[in-house]
Amino acid sequence: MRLRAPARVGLFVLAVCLFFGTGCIYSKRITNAHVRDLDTGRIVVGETTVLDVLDSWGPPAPTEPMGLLRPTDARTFVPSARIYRYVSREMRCASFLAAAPIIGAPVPVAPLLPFVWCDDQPAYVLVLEFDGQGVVKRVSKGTTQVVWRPWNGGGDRAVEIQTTARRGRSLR
Amino acid sequence: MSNRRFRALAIAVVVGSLLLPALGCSMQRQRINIENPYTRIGRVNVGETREEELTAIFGTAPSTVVPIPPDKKGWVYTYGDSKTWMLGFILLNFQKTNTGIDSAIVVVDRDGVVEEVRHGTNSKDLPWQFWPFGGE
Repeated sequence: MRLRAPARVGLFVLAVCLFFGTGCIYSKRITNAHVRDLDTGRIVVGETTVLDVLDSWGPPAPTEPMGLLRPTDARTFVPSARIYRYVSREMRCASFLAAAPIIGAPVPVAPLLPFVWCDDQPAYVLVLEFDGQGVVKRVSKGTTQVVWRPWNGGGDRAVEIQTTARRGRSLR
Repeated sequence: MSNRRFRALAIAVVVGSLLLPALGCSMQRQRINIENPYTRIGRVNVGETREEELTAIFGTAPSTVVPIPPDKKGWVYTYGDSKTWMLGFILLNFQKTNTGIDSAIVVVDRDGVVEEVRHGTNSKDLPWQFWPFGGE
């Protein structure tokens, strides 16, 4: 039986999709997601001490596995440091793959020509500054929106920063 | 069964049999730097453990050692966990990785004895997730 033209076109597109078609991967990586849940309301400028912070939040940690740690970074982790940075990092990637057939292979297609767009940002940053006595003197919180490229451009991203250095105040 | 229905069923079977082998998921686990970090940290006894024993307890050299004024040292160990779950279809794949990294600081006094240990536990019990959109 002879197929009509639209059906032939449809079958052709389906064949192209299956044998030469593209696949896409959406992936997200979040590092130290717990940082977003830290309650900054408990950090009161002029009252909270470095030991209070260590007891409730633990030491700050890097967002990359070690080997990349520089001594200057490490100093921000020790109890005597004047600045603690708690960072949650987020990366979003959209990948598009063109595939080609390999007849007879267990998986009949092999990916070719990958196109990958990624956006990797310190999505949530919490910075505590201490005075010489180990008491909090400033709290800052910054959020950066992570976007899906190529659908959104970097110029679309929302950035928000809050900070306070007034005694008796905290960030909500 | 009419010819039309038979043809639709045949196409469904053929397309389904092409798609089915392409469905799949992969799960990956990556432990970062130290195996069983909490057990190892528990073996460090404040006031007893000496600096020379730390490498054997943790099974590795520290990520770094930093001076703590005036005369102490901080041995910094970092450790963590990472879980990736990918759900794949022939044309669309979703993947999410949850990574948690913690640090442990072992403060050693001028005599080489451990004075204080602080560590994070946020890399414990990370969830397995595959959906990359929305929320966390």
